[in-house]
Amino acid sequence: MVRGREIPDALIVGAGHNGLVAACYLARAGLRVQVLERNTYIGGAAVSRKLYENFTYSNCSYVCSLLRPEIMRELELPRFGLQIIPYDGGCTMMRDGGHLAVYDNHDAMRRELARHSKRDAEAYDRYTRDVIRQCKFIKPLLLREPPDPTSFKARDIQELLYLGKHFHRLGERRMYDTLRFWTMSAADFLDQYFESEIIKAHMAGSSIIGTALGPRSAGTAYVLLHHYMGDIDDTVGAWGFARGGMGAVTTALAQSLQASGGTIRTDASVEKILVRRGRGTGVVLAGGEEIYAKQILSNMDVRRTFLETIDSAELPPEFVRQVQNFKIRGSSGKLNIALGGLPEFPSIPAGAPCTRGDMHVTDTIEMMERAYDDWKDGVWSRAPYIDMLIPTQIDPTMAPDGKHYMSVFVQYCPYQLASGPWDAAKRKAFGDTVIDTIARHSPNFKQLILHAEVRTPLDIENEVGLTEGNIFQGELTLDQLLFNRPIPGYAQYRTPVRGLYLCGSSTHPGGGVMGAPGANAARALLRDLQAGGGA
Amino acid sequence: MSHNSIGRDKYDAIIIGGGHNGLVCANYLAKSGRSVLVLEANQQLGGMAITREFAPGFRASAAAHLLNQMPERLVAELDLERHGLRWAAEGLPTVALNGASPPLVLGRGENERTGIDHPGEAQAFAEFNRRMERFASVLNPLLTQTPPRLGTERWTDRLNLLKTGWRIRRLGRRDMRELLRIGGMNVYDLLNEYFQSPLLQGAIGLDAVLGTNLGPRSPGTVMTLLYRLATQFGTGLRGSALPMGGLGALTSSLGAAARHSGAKICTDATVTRVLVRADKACGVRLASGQEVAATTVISSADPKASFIALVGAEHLDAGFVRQVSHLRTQGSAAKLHLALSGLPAFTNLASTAHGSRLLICPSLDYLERAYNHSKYGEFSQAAALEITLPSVHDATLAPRGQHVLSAVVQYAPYRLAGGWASQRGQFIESLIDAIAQYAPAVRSMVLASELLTPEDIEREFRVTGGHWHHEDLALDQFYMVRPVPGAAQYSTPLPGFYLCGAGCHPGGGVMGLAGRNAARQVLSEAASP
Amino acid sequence: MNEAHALPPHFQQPLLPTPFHERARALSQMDSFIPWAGYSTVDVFSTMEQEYFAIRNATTLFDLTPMVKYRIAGPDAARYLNRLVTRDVARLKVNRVSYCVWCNDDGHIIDDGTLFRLGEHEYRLCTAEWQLDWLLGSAIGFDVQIEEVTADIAALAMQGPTSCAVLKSMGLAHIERLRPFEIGFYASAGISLMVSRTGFTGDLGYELWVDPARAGALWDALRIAGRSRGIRPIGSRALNLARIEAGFLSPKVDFVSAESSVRIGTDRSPLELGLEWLVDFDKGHFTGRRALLEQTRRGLKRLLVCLDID
Repeated sequence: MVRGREIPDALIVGAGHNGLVAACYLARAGLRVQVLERNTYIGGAAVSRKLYENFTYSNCSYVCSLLRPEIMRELELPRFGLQIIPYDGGCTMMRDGGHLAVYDNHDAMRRELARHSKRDAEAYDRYTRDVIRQCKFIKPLLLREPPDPTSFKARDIQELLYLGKHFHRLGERRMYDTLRFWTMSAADFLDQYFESEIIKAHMAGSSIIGTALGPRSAGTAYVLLHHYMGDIDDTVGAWGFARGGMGAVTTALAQSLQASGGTIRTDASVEKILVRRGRGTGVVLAGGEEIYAKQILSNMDVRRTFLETIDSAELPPEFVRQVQNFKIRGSSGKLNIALGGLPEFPSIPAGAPCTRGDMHVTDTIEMMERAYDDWKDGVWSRAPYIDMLIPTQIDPTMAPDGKHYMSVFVQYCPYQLASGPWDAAKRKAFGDTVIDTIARHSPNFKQLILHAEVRTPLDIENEVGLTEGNIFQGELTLDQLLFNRPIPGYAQYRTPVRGLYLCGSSTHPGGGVMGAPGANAARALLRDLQAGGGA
Repeated sequence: MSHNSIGRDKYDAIIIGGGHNGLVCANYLAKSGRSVLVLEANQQLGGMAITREFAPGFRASAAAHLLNQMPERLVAELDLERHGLRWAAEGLPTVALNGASPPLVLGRGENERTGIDHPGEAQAFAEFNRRMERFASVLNPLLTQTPPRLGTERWTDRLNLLKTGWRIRRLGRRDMRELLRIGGMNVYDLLNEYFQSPLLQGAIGLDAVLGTNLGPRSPGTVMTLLYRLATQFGTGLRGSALPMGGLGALTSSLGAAARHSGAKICTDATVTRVLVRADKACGVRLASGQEVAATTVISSADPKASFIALVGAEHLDAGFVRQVSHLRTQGSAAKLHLALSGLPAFTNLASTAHGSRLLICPSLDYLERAYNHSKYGEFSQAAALEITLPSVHDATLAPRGQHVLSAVVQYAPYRLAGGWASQRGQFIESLIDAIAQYAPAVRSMVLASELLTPEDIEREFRVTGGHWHHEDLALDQFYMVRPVPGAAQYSTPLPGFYLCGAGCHPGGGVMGLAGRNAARQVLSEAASP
Repeated sequence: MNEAHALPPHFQQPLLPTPFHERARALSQMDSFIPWAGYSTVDVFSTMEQEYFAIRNATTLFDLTPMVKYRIAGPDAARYLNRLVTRDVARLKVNRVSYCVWCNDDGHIIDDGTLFRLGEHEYRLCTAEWQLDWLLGSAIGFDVQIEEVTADIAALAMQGPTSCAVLKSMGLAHIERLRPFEIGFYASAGISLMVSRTGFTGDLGYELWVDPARAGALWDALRIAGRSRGIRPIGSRALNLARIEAGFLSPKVDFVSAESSVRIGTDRSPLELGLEWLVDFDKGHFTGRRALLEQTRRGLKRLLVCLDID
């Protein structure tokens, strides 16, 4: 333990997956690393929690695909117990009793799509081709530091040139496709391929998850892609469960960290980051304990880091204003439900594997857009978009025999209600809206519920520390991507405070259990150390 | 005039469509000595920029009713004032109506602004304007250029890109970063960063979405605002102006100027087909069956009509046609014309301010809610309006003592669920109600009314989807990709065939730059084959 | 089809059987099936060598049903097709077949296929891969109907030097008069069928098109009629060998379809593939024409050539 006596080389505030990834890389580079976590458990938003009898809930993030394979490999996560189990399929149940399923098998998928539109079944190939093309374009940028386009530094110019070349290599036609893709709405993007409403609605789902935009908002085509960036060399957007829940990811990271000599201290809430003469020197914990360190990495989002833990007198006023303007909106809720058995979904044919994947009930883009309109008015969606999964069908470790755990992600749910602050009654009403929505497609669902944890954006903020409960630590809109993320001029993990780095999802390339921000931040810090004693 | 007076059998250039862009293009080509024929399908020259009688003795500009985007330079170059263009009013202030409270008046100068009542907001507004004007000044030169092509070996394309990059860079680090940040943002968030007053936010927000299919929360609306500011940047001191006789007077003067330079203009001459020989456009066929030959054919019609109906898919590549067919061309703005028995009083509005540009858009949330409806094929229950009373300045538009109210209405969808025929009256009533909230006397003064929905605009002016800008002004249909890659430089994949309408960069609005840029492109390509 | 009704659902059995499936399975010694355009087809029946020699010495049956078939009809069908493919098919006569390729806007090849003119305004296009997305995308601005009819037509390729004799002995009157790329209509043992003198082996051969309900009967009749002339069913592997020898191209093997390529620089033009004989620059516009002219002007950077190895 590095308390007091020996000053750690790097202190990481927050044991979320990005904080732990950064810690792992620093520890492997030989630094003395300590991670501080305010909760009594580690994991941030990648946690498995036992809140009801013998059920394990992935009670924030719930599926895994974005975790960069490079990070998995380099930090030897499988050796430390991480196992990802891919699932096959998913579906949208329709209001008229029909359904659209998604299957991994290309021929099954084709025939499934052809039930709705022969034309779309073939257009699907063009769609996946274009999505893969865009993924291929973006993938190499994920683990790179975005250049500052206003800078004349050799490194920035070099990176800008790389970007330019990378773009130019696409050739004229694909360059235009890419320009248009980045500025399009998911609805318009999908209209270029599909005619069937249900197919478009199903595909559009990932364009709004975690985002305070509707599928008709420009820029949501990119959000759609963001969710597709999983292991794309095999299949577009392969998704899987972490065995034992999402906490398995952070547990494996913690073990990897400890194996390289890093330490983690839980129940250590950082109240303040100390800054002296423009340099971060340490932190103050709740209770007054001070811990000093040579370098500090904050896994907290940019708002929480600069507006709540640093004295604003230590920051340039313009920077503070920009942080205040950083958009980080609560738009998602979550239900974790313990079920006494497997619910029936009459619209899905018996034996179809699609209920083992992500299930939805929003069958038109309009329904999705109207759900967003409710959010704009400060009410939770009356007909919300839900992304529900029952991982215990594949990973029985998460529930007692014969019983099941269901994770229900809900879009949209506002952080601030027009009707005034959240309270227990409103939380229950929100939960009931979601449960009723599901029950319309599953007659025995309500009877099976043993326990339901309902989490509003406010709850997520209170528990995990994410401002407004935003799962991406900041909207993934054009003005907050690449060199704009989080703040123009501070997109390279460094901050106006020397020796203080950001390593959370507020930074490029953003949210999802990807780990790239943590890895990039660690690399930036190590480069600064090499260049001479830190930033 | 009819087409039996077409004159010669061959022209250097035939321009399809006698709207303002077609006429501007005709002017520049004719001035350079080309023989030019303009073919307009309707009886009246001017495309959407015409003044029509909508009730006996009452006339109004059919679509746009203010001239605030046409560069001063273009008006001077074509000597339009010598060809009959007169100004009924110039530099109209914008007035955001506020019902029971005094309105917000936004004149051009800082001392011509009243009603900004939040503390510090006047200063914030001045700061906001300065910044936006700086950005607009950087973007303004782009309006008069042919957009560059990406990935070509041509040095002009590369130079253009470099020049733009350099101009942005010259803004200085702070402003450059800000421009790169806000470029993809929505105007709702931007205005909330700067202001607290809903009325001020609403007034600026309306500018960002006027004529588009976007709401203030739609990402990209800062770009449409900057675009509008950039276009207005070149108008000089005239600002928002009313031509004497309505917008039709502008196109009449453009027609007169073109004829003066030797162009031949025929109305009631519908082009049904662009003739193609040996993979080159070589003339047009008219509805009468008559064919006219030309070295160059230039279409000011919208891209879908130009490529699919006039040229025909068989002369174009399939991928290109597919992209054209995916253009978002459905309009969402309508136009309301009221014939009034007198001048209605607006609550809290000085009688001298009646001639201003009057806005009904109390807040961004109001505007966003109005937009919500149009997403689902409904008309706005509470619409946002840009109102003018042009007869206050121009007695030629209405009988003595009586007045015309002309309003741009956001939002009215092209395809209304249930159809326009049965709901038109209901919508007009709701619009009159909306106006009556600010001018209670208006209801009793209405002698006649007319509503032009996008569907009407499509039928009457042959614009696919009835979109004022021919297709949405949105980031993915902007600049280098407007209307589609391969046709963004006015030239098209079909040699000898060009576009010059609002569907091209820099888009619609009565600006004329698409026509001017296209003419320059035609001339430069003829010079260097 | 009643038979199809009894099939397991697609999520349990993604591939469909062809109407010849049961008969082919009975003869398949290797039990070696491969997926082709949504169907399960035989890769090898006994040995590839024997099957190959039958193509060159006797006659063979190859299940062609999975070949994707499109019915293209309407007043603009001819204009539409001539804009689609690089070859001049305006002059294609009724009851004639043409081999053609089509390109995207960049002049990169999307796929190849055989085009059958069945009537004044009716065509059938047969391709190895699905093309509906491109075909419908190309139809904007044309009065033409396009539908996939793969499941409505069973097809057999009959290739080999004795194939004409076998058909003749089955009672196909004057089949010997059928010229290459010609279509004829025949009846035999109560089965009416369309025969085209086409194939992918470079040898004498026919393709037989029949109502799926009569497919089994046709197969049986052919086996009986061909018994003395060494008829045998073959799988795709043997056919592929013959195809390579004949110098015919196959998508996904010799080129990547421009509509499905993901990697940059993998697209090929017909000129680069040595198919300039299929490109008619003088027929009027077709998709990719301007790009191909530009490529001709700049000169080819690569060329696919056929190598003979002894």
